[in-house]
Amino acid sequence: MTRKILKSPQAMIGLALIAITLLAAVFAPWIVPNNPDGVSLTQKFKAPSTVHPLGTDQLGRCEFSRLVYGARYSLGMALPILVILGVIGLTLGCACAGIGGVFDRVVTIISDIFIAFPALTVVAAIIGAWGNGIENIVLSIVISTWAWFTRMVRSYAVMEMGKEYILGARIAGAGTMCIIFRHVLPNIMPQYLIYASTGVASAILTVSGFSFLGLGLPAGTPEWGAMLSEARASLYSHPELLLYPGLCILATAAGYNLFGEALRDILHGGSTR
Amino acid sequence: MNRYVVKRFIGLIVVLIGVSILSFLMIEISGTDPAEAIARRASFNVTREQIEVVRLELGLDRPIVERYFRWLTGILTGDAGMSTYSNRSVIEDLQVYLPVTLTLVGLSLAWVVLFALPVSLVCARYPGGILDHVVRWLTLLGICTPTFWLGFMLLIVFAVRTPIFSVLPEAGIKGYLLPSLTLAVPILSAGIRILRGSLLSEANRDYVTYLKARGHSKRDILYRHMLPNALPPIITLFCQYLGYLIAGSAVVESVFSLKGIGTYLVGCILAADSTAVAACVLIVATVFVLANLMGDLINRTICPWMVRETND
Amino acid sequence: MKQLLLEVEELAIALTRSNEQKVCDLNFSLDAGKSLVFLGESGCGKTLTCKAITGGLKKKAFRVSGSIRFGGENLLALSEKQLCGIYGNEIALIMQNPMTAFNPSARIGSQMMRSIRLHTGEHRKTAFARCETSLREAGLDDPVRVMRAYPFMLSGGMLQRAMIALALALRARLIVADEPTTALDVAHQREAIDALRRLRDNGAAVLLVTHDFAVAKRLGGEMMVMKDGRMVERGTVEKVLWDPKAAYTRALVAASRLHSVQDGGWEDARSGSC
Repeated sequence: MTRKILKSPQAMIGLALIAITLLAAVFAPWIVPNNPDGVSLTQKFKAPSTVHPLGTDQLGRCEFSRLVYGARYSLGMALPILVILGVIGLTLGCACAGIGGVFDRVVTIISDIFIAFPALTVVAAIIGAWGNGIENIVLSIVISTWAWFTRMVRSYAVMEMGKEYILGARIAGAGTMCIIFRHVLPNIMPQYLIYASTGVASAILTVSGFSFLGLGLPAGTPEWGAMLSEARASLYSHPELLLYPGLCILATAAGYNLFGEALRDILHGGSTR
Repeated sequence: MNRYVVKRFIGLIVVLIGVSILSFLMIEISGTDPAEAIARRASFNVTREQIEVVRLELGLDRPIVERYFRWLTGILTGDAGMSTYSNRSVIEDLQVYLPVTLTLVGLSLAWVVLFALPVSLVCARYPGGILDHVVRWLTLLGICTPTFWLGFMLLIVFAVRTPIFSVLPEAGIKGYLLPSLTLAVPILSAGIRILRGSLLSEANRDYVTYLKARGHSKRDILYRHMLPNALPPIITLFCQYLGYLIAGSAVVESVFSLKGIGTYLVGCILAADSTAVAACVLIVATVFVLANLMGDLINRTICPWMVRETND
Repeated sequence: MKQLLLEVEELAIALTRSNEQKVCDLNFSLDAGKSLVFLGESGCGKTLTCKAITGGLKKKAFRVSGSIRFGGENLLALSEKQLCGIYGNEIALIMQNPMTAFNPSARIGSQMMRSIRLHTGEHRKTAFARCETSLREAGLDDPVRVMRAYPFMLSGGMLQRAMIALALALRARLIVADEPTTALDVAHQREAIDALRRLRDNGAAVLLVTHDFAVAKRLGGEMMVMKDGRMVERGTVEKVLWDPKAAYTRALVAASRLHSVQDGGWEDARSGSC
């Protein structure tokens, strides 16, 4: 399996992008040439130089440093979101498939309600209530998307439980909990991981989208979406300030999507090629 | 079939009621005091009494359950209440903001339909060809592109560098071209990927082999047999996106300075205007569940065998 | 020398991706009113050969060499358009799994009539009548109900007969049946082979692929045993089963004898009853 991943150019490019952004996020303080929050009104809008590899923004801050720190925010929010969503989704989804009956119906109706609920409302409400902050963004995105994950996992689990070997396990005397943990969960993991990798990409896009709207992070934070929002005023004068953060978002999301898709091709024998 | 529709409809109503309750709750927990927010708008220094007067005036002192039922009966009789955010009736607000978003979303979906079908069909006709590869990569980029960034890029190219469009909203359809394209790109990309994948997996099925062995041409097989069987996933996607688009358009509206439901919704939430928020959320959720139901019904019609499979 | 209906010379099929040779140097011929059975275990290349004859091989995935002459013309050298005129019309396929052979979203009648009208250019009414008649000939008592049904509503046996009916309706000269009995229960297996026999006796050439001795015995005619893409033995069904010359065939026959002795089978592979 690892060999197949190494052989696929798409998977390798995806992994490379993921690695670059992860490394940038983790080692940001050691990589950046300047302080990302260092305002200097005399250095506004400078062109790229040895001091400032990508120039400076409208407040004289080093663009490159801010971009690198941006990785911290994007990944620092998207990855925990995915972990939490994973725990909730896998638990509830498998529980629904395993227990069935009224429990399943109730959870399905509740998740239907949450799915029909526009995500924007949840985020704005929570931010409006509890103020800005990373935890609140994470919380609000989790609340607005847990239902999708639960539903997805539930459908994988239900399909898996319909397979014949589960029947065999039951006949052999295995209880429901045992079936779920030993059989269902490991076998739906590959599909789930593919879904989760595209989930990371979408979480990154969502997080930056909400930051762009001003929901969630204090002004001046070097987060890519927020940077784009701040650069609006420079649309005519310095459009490149709008280019960079967007490219970063795109590249990061692309890394996860590329990898996820390559993984799907490998696992399903290239049926989507 | 009819029993199925009735059953789904009942489920739909349950979901909508749940959604409206949830939206009231959401505002309640938000902790912002709407009376205070309104009072502060009039004058900066407000006293407690002034806030209380506002509260009594707007009936915001009643318990939430009573307020909810008052709102619910209002909705059922066609009165969506007053927006404390804009000081107009919610219906009036909606009449201003809703058409903008609906035009935007409608045009976006038109782009999607216009391009998704032909592109996927050509890819399926010549799998592995140059176009197929180009499309694969382009659509992959498309789903990774942040909509707000794309909007700005389009503005830079088409409004700043070359003044074909204007940065501020223009009258008529022209003002919706760039925004709708921006909104359409991620969905178009996702749609093409799904339809193309669906068509390719249909191509491996037994009935295609049998059709070829009966002398049907590739074109005939593709359009008359593979396509209807490949449509369900993308129809489902389409309908799911419909609801998302209406609320998610907030971002695009912000970039292009359009005054639509998304912008209105954000403003109302931040002002703790439960009435208006509940009404907006109800509209969005209704569109969403209705679209999903419609999608399911369409799928069941073109693929009758799904009726048997999805009987849960 | 009289031209036979189907003449295959030095047929070789290889996978393009791995260059693996799946079928090597196959030579056989088949004439109208005769039947030929391909017998062998899974993976011996019999299905691939069938696909090569009926156009089921993906052009890019396989490299085919040699010649497949049908009515004098080499199928491998014809254009797609010409092949579309021959497939279905002159060469009919009976697929292995009848449950997945038809488009699940269209009614049987509509699908059959489309194929019929494709080749005959008939009016709807005439095609309908033709369809109905051939379904009856194939052994279905209520053809109209079958025609109005969707594939998932019918049983495997009925769908199998629908495929045979299609071959009848188009008066195909060569019928290629790829393991037609594998997905059927025993009662229907017998009927399916009998239907093929009737087709043969009416003048069609029948090419049957199977791994089941009893089926081969019931059809009769010529037989070719295949292993790993090559022909191992050839002769009439009776002769090969009674007196196998190749070691491989002997092992197969012995195994089947053991099998049918143990649980009775539905026919002993070597008994003569028909």
